This record gives sequence, structure tokens and C-alpha cells, in this order.
Amino acid sequence: MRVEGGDQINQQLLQRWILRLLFGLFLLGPCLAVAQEEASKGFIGPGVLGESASLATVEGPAAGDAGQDVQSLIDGLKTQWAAVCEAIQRGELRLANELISSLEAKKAELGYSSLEDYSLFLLASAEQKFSAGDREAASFLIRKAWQLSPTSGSVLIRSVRLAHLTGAGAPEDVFLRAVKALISDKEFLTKVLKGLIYPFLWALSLALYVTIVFSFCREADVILQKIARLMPVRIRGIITPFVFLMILVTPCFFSLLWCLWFWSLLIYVFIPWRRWVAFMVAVVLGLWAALIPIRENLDLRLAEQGIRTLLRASSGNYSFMDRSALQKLAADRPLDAAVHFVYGQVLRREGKYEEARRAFLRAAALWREGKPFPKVELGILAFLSGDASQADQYFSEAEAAGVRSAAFFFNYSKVKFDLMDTAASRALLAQANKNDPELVAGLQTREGTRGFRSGQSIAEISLPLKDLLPSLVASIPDAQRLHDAVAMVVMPGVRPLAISGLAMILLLGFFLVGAKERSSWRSMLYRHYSMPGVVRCMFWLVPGGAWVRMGRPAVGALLLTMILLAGMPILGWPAETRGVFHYLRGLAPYYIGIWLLLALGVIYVGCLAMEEES
Amino acid sequence: MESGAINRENLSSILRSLSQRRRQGTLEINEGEKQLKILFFQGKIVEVLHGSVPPAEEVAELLEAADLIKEVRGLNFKDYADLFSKLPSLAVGSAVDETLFKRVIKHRILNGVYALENLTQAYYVFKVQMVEYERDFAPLISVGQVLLDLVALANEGGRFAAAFMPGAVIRVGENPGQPLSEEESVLIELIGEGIGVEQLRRRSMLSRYHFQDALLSMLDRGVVAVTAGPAAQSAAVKLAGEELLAALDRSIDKAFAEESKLVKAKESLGCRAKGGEEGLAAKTDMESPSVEPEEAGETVACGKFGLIGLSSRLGQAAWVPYIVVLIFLASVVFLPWLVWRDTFRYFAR
Repeated sequence: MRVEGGDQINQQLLQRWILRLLFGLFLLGPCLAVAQEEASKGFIGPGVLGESASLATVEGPAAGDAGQDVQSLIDGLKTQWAAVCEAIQRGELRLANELISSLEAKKAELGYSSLEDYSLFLLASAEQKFSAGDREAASFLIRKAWQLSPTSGSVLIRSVRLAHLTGAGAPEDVFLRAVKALISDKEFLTKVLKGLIYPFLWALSLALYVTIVFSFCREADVILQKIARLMPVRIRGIITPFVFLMILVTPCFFSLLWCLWFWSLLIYVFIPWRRWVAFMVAVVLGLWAALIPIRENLDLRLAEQGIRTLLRASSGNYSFMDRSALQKLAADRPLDAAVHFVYGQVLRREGKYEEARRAFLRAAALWREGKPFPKVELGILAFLSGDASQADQYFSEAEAAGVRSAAFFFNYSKVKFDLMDTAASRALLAQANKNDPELVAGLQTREGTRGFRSGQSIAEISLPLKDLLPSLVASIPDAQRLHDAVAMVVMPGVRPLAISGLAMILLLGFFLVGAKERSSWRSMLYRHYSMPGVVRCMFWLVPGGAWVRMGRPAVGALLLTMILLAGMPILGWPAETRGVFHYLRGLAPYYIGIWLLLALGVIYVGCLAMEEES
Repeated sequence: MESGAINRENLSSILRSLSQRRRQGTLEINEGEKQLKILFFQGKIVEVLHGSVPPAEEVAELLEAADLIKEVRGLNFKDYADLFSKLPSLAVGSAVDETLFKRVIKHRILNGVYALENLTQAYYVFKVQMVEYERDFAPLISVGQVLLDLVALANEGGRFAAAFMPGAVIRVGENPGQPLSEEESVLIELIGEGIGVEQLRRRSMLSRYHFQDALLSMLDRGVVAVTAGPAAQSAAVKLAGEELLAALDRSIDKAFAEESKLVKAKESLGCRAKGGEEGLAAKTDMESPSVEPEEAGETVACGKFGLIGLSSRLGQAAWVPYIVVLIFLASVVFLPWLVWRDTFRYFAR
């Protein structure tokens, strides 16, 4: 046991914190940078998006009137938009500018936060203008797109590249705004999650492949000696190298995962003190088995209009197509509580309170865990219908069930105010302001313009992503064939369930082998083994190789995984990572530079650690 | 952790390296079944461990062999302090004082280190670690001095063996009253009226170098004189007889056109047979003998040129694992591009 001085300890701590910081940067980076392929192509073109508003506060005919009012406002918006399109096509940008300003006013009147479809259309037009060489027109259209949808992450992220090319804005500012908006966009987050699965699994698998190769090179003499002991005495010196090559190289003729699996068995047999690497292989195989079905199901689900609407609506982005999409989804999935809940919210915004109430009651009945969200919405309905006492009862039950969001406190404060309980109202408002002052400020402004009892002044309650995930990953009929097809590609001959079985075998082997130290016994054969120079160089130059050289292959594998994952967008493989530079073309050199810095940083720290060890 | 092969040639460089860098830790040397551990503290040797035998028990056996204490079989001694505390109750005659006790420990350690001069093919591991040793009794032995002692042992060993043959009796010489070193004083006290070399070695408990050096020095100055004893005389006769038999053996082999398998094996491969001749299966037919490998340290299969010889040479060659690893590396780098292309393409869609 080495007694270390204070300086050495500080140096090691510094190295560890550098690594943690770099790791954190690149855990965040790819997540934010993976902007996925278009899923909303159907929305390009005239359409109305953004927060809808419910105007009526009474049920019955008044509710129907509110719905009629909204529809007429929407029609007016469409007409205005049609005029904008004509002006752009004629090249009358001044007229387009005036019409868009008018459109923005109507948007605000309707209580929408963004007109995403219109903005996407403007971006597409900007792309055409830029391709035609009209840079100024393209820049103008981009700014108008931002004007109509200032907080839409989807619009912002798609405009980063053009903003850089046309000079409409600093790409890094636009990117940061997009990131801020996209973080709360559940559709985007789900796409990122889906898009990260295969790159992550491949990065892990390839890193383990490299790690095991390094481990075998490092311990080649031990493996040769152990093989030699099994061979006939007369010919062991001749046959051992061939047997070594055969058992180590043959698995490469199968797939990567099969290769890792066979190599893990060899680790248990020949170098059992490296069993943790085999354990990692078992974990990776288990992840492949579990994540292939999830990823493919997510892919299929995100292709469905209804699911995309569900995600966008629960993020606060609405369009007039939401009701029909969710109505169809609710009919297809009568037992899905989240679908009925979000459908109820859409109905509420369109003034259809009775239908909304039925939807919320159904969601409450379907949620076995007794989630409080339907109670909150029923309370909102009661408030909008003028029954503050009933609303108070619902809200107090929801509060007792543990609802604590700023939106909830704000709505509850309105109910208390309606009941003349100003002290409680003030306390609840203060609580809401403490949690989210920006939200409260925006809603209070809207109260000032729309009215206290207006549906546009209600803070929206959004379902957390975790409550939506069951809807996303629910099993799909006939999807099993797709899962099996993918499994056959990565590990021919087995299905996902069989992959998990193979993982279990490795786990069992891990515990059977047990903790072992490297034996101090040394054979007389292959005693003079020293690693070839090219292998030594690879230990120095491959990120994580230094840790494998020092006898810590698990650490080396994790570091290499991180570097590979971050480098996949540069390679453009797997396909999911190609979107990064499509949307971030202006930032590509920065990304590559940061990646190189990260890789060199890991190599440098590894070299330092190796020198210290020696 | 440093490791590698150790032999006569690189022994001094390894020890010097540990000494110059003032290393602290344990140097483990494995040669076949035998294991030797040398403990270093700030580059100096402080202890030697033979396998799992506690050093205190070794010292107790040395004292018993020197007839200074009673039989110690069955007694366990935790450490030197424990042994020293029990010495008064075990003493035969006068008590063992601390100076003698420390000298026995020191020379025992020296003998342990001197045994390294016979290394041929061994393996060492140096583990950097905190070393616990009994500072009250254990010495701090300089590596440089040990290496010089080894050189002296090698240089003077032949002269010593010739002058002090087994069975020789040592007596006080014609010039006894000369200044003596500490080791010479110890020896002179034990010589008395005359004592055999082996008995003197046993009772003095000096290290091989100090024993050899002191006796040769006293012999050269005439402080002691040597008389070849009856055993030495019979040993000389025995040696001559063995040489005669060996010559006869060679002539018989030559007559039957078959050389001694032992000589042939050693000449052709220069390998070390297990335990001398016992490792070889002498056969009357023309098959080459072979040696079965053991668990603790493989022995080289000795035999004629042919399959076994080739196998043995390939097992010892350094280039074989080197080439194997290069081929393995090339395979695992290039094969995936050929074999896994379809998989990569599938995920590139």
C-alpha cells in the first residue's frame, strides 16, 4: 500500500474532477444536440397551433357558444394567413410584414403562445429564398417565423442553421433559446430518448469490444500458458498459438454481441480476475434485450398522429387538429387514462365542459394509483362554471394528495379569491410565485386583459413524462416481429428474450467464478512476453486504454463509451445521430473541436495516471 | 508493481534499483516451488521470509542447532521479541544476550539474500507497501554491501572450499595474538582446541560470507590452521572413485553407440531437468525421454531434437506470443469491417 503525499492526493482529486466535468458536459451535449427527424411534416402549411382558449364560464348553450366563438376566431386567423401566403408568393414583403403583425395580434387575442405550423411554413419559404440567392428575404422570413412562434423549440432548432447562414441571428443564441424551449417539449424529449437508445447501446458494445481486445493483449501470456497446460506435452509449444488464435478470433465471425458473449466466457476461464468486464457485457446484453422492444415501440408510437398530439398537448402546444386526433386515440385506447385526461384538457379549452368532465372522470377511474390530476381539472371546470365551492373541494383533495406545482397553486388562489378568502388566496399566490415567478407574471398579465374568470387565465396542468411513458411503450400487436428482426441483426439466431437469457448465463458465471486474484504462479512457457509496440501505442492513444493498461478495464470501457457516444454525430452513424449536424451545421466545427478536446483530455489524464502508476 | 524474470545476471541491477530509489515494499521471488520474500525499508533490507516459516522460528532453530537453547520443536514464537523474552527459560548454559541475538538475526537474513546467487530462472514481483518489521531487532542491511559480499563469495569460494574441505578440523594457528574483527573473535572463541568446519559454522551462526571471509583472513595471517580430517580424506577418495565410474560409464555408452541421455539432453537444449536425473525417464529404446510438467513452475521438456525440442523452443521463444498478439490484433481490427458490414448498414438506414 503506497503512502501518498498531499500533492499526489490533490493531483488525483483534480484529475477526477476534470473527468467528471468533461463527462457531465458530454452527457448533456448529445441529449440536447440530437434533434430528431421531422415528425410533424403534416403540420407544415396553414394551420393553427398554440394554446387554445376557452371563453365561456357557464355550461350548456353558453359552452357551445364559446366553442362557436373560438371557431370563428380560428377561421379569421386562417383567412389572415392565406393573405400572408399570397403576399409572400408575390414577393410583397412589406405587405406580408403588416399582415404578420396583424396575425400576431390575433394570436395574442386567441391566447396562443405560438403559431408553429405557420412559422414552419415561413422557415421552408426562407430555405427556398436562400437557395435562390435572396439572402435578405430569407433573413426576413426567419425573423417573422420567430415573431409568430417565439417560444417554439421546434421552430427555433430548425432555424439555427439558416440563422447562421443568413445572418438573421447569432446561431448560439438561437440554439440556447431552442434548448430552453425544447427541454419542456415532451415530444422532443421522447424523440431524444428514442434516438439515444441505439447510439448508447452501440457505444457501450464497441467500447467493451475494444476493452476486451486490450485485456487479451495485456494478458496474452497468461492465456497462452493456461492453454498450453491443456495441450499434450509433446506439441504444446507448437499448437498453443493456433488454439489461442482460433478461440479468440473465431467469435469475430459472428456478430459483435455474440463475440462479446463468447469472449466473456473466455474471460471467466482464462483471466477470471477481469470478471467485471464480463459482468459489464452481461449488463449490456440485458440492455439490448430490454431496449430493442422499447425503442421500436417508441418509433411506432411516435409515428402515430394521436401520440404526437398527446405529447404536444401535454407540453402546452395545441392545434385545432388536437380534438379529432385525441378523440380517435381515446376510441382506440379506451383504457388509457393519460389519453382521456389530455383529451379532457383539449375539450375544456374548446369550451366543451360536459364532455371534458366525462373524460376526466373516466381518467380518474382508469388511474389505479389514484392520481390527483383529474381532481385538479374537475376543480378548474367547476371554477369556470361558476361553482367555486365545488372547485375548492376538488382542489383541497388534490392538495391533500400531494399536488404542489406553481400552476396548481395559482389556480387554487383564484378559487380562494372567488370565495373571498383573500388571506388564503394571497398565501397560495405567494407559493406559486415562489415556485415559478415567470408563469405567475404571464398569467396575471392575461388576467388583466382577458378577465379573472377567463379560460385563458387558467394555468395549465401538464402530465409528467413518466405518466405518459406507459402510453408510449405499451405493447403493439404484431410488433414482436419487428423486435425479432432487429434482434436477429444484432445477434443472429436469437430473439430479445433469448438475449436476456444469454445475459443471465454471464451473470451466473460472474457469481460462480467469484472474486479471484491473479495467481502468482508463473509457468516456464511464454515467460518473455512483452506487448508489441503497436499495442502499447494503442493503450496510450485510445481514450480509456490507459485504464485498461493499469488493470482497471471497467473504467476504461466507460470512458471510451462516453467518447464514442459523443463522436457518433461526427461519424453520422447510427442514423439517429445524423440530425445533429443537419440542424447545427453552423456549430459543427465547435462540436468537433470540443469533442477532440474531450478525447485528448481523457487521453492526457490517462497518460498521467499511467506514469504515476509506473 | 514491478515484476519480471530474475536470474544471476540481472539480480544486482534489480536490487540496486530498489536501493537507489529507496523503495519500501516486498520483493517476492518464486523459483519453482520455492518462494523467498525480501522486505525493503527505505532501500535497505530488513527481513527475509522463506515461504510461510516465521523468521523467529528460523532463528530459534539456528540457536538450537548451535546448542544455545533447548529443543524448540512444537513451540511457536510470534516474533523476535516473543522469542527473546522466552530465551532465558530455554537457554542451555549461559543466556543468549541481545547482541548475539541481533547478530543471529542479521546473519540469517544475509544468508537468505546470499541464496539468490544461485538463481537461474525465477520470477520476481515487487509490491510497494508498508513494511512491518521489528525495529528493535531487525537490521538495516545495505544492498551495496550485500552485492559486494556476493562477489567476494564467488571470488573466494573456490579457495575456501579447497582450504576448508568437509571434515577439516580448525585449530588455533601459530600467530594467535593478533587484532581480530567481531566475526573473527566469535570464531576464535568457538575454535578452542579444535573444531570441525561444519560444527564451527553451525555454532557461530555467521553468514556464509562472514564465515568464509573471517576464516580465510585468519588462515592467511596464521591465526588459525586447518587439518584435513578423516571425513575429508574419505571424501577425496570418494570423489576419485566417482570420476572413475563416470569414465567407465562413458566408455560403455560409447561401445553401444548410445550416449548418456542426461549428457545429450543437457548439451542439446541446455535446459534444466527436474531434480537432476530423476526428471528423465531413461529408456532402452530410441524414444526421446520427456518430463511431465508440474503445477508449480513448468520444467522444460528435455529431449532430442524433434517434435518435443521444437515444441519446447517455441514455448520459450519470445517472438511467438509477440506474433500471436499481432495477428490477433490485426484480426479483430479488420474482421469486423468485413463481417459486420451488414449490421452497420442496417443501423445506418
